[in-house]
Amino acid sequence: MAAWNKGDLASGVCVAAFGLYVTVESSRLTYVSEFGPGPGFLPLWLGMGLLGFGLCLIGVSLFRSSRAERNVPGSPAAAGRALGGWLALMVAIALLPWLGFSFILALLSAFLILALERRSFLTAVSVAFGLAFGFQVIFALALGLSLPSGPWGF
Amino acid sequence: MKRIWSYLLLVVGWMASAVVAPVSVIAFEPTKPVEAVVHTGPGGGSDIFARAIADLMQKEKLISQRMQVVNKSGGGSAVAMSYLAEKKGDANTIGFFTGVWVTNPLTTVEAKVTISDLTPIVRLVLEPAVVAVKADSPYKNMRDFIESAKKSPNQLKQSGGSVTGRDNLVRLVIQKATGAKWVFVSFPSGGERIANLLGGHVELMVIEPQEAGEHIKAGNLRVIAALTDKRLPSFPDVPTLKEQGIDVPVIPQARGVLAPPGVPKDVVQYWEGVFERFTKTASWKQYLEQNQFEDGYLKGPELSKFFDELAKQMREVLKEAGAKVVR
Amino acid sequence: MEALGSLLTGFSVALTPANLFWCFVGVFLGTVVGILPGLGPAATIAMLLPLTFKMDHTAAIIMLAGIYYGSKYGGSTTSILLNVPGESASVVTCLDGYQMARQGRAGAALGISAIASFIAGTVGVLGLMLIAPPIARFALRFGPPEYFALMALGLAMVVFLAGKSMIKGLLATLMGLWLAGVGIDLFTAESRFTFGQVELLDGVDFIVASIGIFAIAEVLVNMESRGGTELFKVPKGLRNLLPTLQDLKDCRFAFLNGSIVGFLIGVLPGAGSTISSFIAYGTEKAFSRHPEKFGTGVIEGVAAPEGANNSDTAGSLVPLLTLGIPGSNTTAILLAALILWGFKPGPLLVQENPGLFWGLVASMYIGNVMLLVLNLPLVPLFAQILRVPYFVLYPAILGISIVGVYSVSHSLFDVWLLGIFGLLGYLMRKLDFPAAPLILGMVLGDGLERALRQSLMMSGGQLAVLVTRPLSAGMLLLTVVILLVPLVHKARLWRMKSVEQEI
Repeated sequence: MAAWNKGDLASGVCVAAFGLYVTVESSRLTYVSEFGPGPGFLPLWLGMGLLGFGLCLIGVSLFRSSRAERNVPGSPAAAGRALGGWLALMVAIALLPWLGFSFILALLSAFLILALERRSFLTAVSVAFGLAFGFQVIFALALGLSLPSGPWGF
Repeated sequence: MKRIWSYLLLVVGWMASAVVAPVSVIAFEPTKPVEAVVHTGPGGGSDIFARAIADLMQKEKLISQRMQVVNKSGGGSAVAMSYLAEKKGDANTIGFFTGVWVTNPLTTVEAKVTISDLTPIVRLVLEPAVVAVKADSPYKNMRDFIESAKKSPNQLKQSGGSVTGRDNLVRLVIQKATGAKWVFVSFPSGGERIANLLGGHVELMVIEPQEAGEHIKAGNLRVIAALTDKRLPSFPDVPTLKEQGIDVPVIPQARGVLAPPGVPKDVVQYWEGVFERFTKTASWKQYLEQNQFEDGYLKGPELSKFFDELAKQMREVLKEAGAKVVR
Repeated sequence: MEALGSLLTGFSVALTPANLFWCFVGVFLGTVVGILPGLGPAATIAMLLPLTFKMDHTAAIIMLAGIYYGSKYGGSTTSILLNVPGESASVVTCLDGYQMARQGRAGAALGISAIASFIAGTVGVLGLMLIAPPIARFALRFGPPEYFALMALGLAMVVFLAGKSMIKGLLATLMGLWLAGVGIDLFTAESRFTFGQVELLDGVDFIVASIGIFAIAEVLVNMESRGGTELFKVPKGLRNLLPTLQDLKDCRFAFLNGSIVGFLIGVLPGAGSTISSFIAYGTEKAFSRHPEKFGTGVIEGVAAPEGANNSDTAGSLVPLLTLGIPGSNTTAILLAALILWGFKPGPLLVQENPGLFWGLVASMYIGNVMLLVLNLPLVPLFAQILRVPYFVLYPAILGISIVGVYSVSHSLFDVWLLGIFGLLGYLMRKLDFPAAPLILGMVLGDGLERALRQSLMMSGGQLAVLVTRPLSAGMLLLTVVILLVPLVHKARLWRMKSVEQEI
């Protein structure tokens, strides 16, 4: 079976499960309140819709033959790189309140340039410094936005 | 851009402080710009109120530091209140409360910070309200409306804000006192509420006098009752509910200032002093008149008592109306 | 004729050097805050409010309004160049604008956005000047059932946004609708799907979700291959950086569509400019001769929504100035400003202060010209940003996204959400789920649910209320027609196929 269909199967399962969760959760909310529909009215139907169409998607992915047009294949390595980049972003966000925006931006760009792009150390450091400096000047100094700052005040 | 303005204001503030020599030595003075926390986004009622106060304070040169409005909107007032709770003991932060700060924690599980966790400073205004109908409506007074609502229960409609807001609470107490029943339709923005009244989609609205004034002048609306203890000076011909034989408690809409929990005593005294002087200024009086607010000055233990009683009253009203009261 | 005379008086007010200066300050600041993601006109006007007390009131309203409509010009810039929506009304501009930038047509996209903004903005002011009172009365006929029908009509646009698989399009829409429902319920104060988080009580911010799904996901996709995608092509020569005559011709209908849709929806206090931009995009695609090309970088796909969100500003001033009814955060602040300055906004404002109204109207004509002159030369300049190597550009996009989200709410929680939506957007891209329907669902979900429940509250639970009122019945009928279009289209395809097979 083609990867296209595998993807559909997996996403169908996820969406259907999510729909089930929404349905169960919203059945605990009031369905009909004093006048007219309550807060649980729309979410319940949405949950059932997600569940129903999720099951449809599973069905389609199982029964439709591979003559369906194929999407560009995504190699596991490529997806790994993207997820690595995403993890780096999340770690950066986690450290934001402790290290401050400028420092984090510098670290994040240096990491992305070194680890994902494999550029030279010098490029990484200069871009990191340049970006951090530029952001600080434009957003914090010129526009007076308050960004999360580290123990050193920027 | 904000930077440039803040420098400008800094210079103005410095010049101002040079002109007004300190009269007496006060134990506490803010050392950096004061954060004024509000629970609405820019343009919301509390935001506009806080910005107006900040501006008037600066004009009257009552504080040496700039007052900076910080918008912490979300969850009724929950986000702003938990933000203030996090700022425990911070002398440079104040918050602008409204009645929502009392009612919201009553019905919202997630709103863990209640108003008694915060330090009361001062109540500044009471916003009066009136009941308005369309000018071509058959209801000449509140009794007409009630009679009609009794004849055909749940056919008449009132537009308003959140169910924990004053306009709905007013409906609930009147319904209880008279046995009439009508429907409350929530609209998130004030604009939509009045648009639906003007468009004839609803029959009734609880409205602030200032907002209603122009529409009455233009012949779009008619006011049928004042929701106050005494008749309003701007509507001398409009009787109160009590005068119309509807004996219900007046539900106040208060606005004022409080501080984070655990603030030192001298800080509280400083703020009380500042606001006491502030409420005596001419520009404050003018502001009250312009917006047709009632002076609601109250501080210290009386203010705490006000909060407690309001919470008690609201809890009962909400419970009777069938709302889920969580604390 | 009467209007013309008043307008001349208005120009005599607006053309004084001081008012011209404040108009320029306003539109310049507006452009700047529009370009920056996150920071919007509402916050800027609130910040500047104290300074206006010392100003002449007409000058002050001219400046503040300038910030308001000026911000709509700048909003498209980051959408087109970086796939980072500058503000919610420019989210839909990402769909075709960013694709144009990838094809080396960033200049044309930016240019057409400025021109569409100018044309629609001017048409909007014409509407404000000529038909404000009747159109405001018309808007009052919109009660909850009409809003429900309007939202349903907007939601029907999903058939134009769904892409290849209708099931996936619908699933994305449902997700969006669900996301819109997170938070405290207005009608009962019950909280829904908040996972116990105080930050979620107010729901998921639409702009946070769209920056995540568009910008962060785009960066993640480009991280997949080392060396990223090749550099964006930026053509040399000024001529290639601006829209061609052919582009302008292609956009004739888009200009008209954007102007009218934007103005009409702007007048409704319960709708908003994001909705108008989506409906203009949908309309454009519905009437296009090549609807299948939308989403791949069609210039009309930029012109229509950008026009609509400008015309919308003039529209939203209609209920504000003729009735004292604000339809958005920004107009609410303008209303507050008018009150603070001592005016009495309401039905009599224009009558009692003709100088203020006509001065403002005249200044808006001038301001729109200023914005065009200000923005067009910036186009080639901004297009150069894409010459920056990708390994500098992508960290910068991440940085801008974080700053944009954080500057709105000062909440780190929203930055977390940004990251989560980035991953969601990436997965959706990989699994071929279209992003636009999800965003559409988020935009409309709140209004749709609210209007439905309000209607049923008013009718005592009778669904008939939705179809017995002519306006809502008409719009619902149109909705059904739109929903049937793809079916008819498919049937025709089948028939053609079978005919081909027979031959």
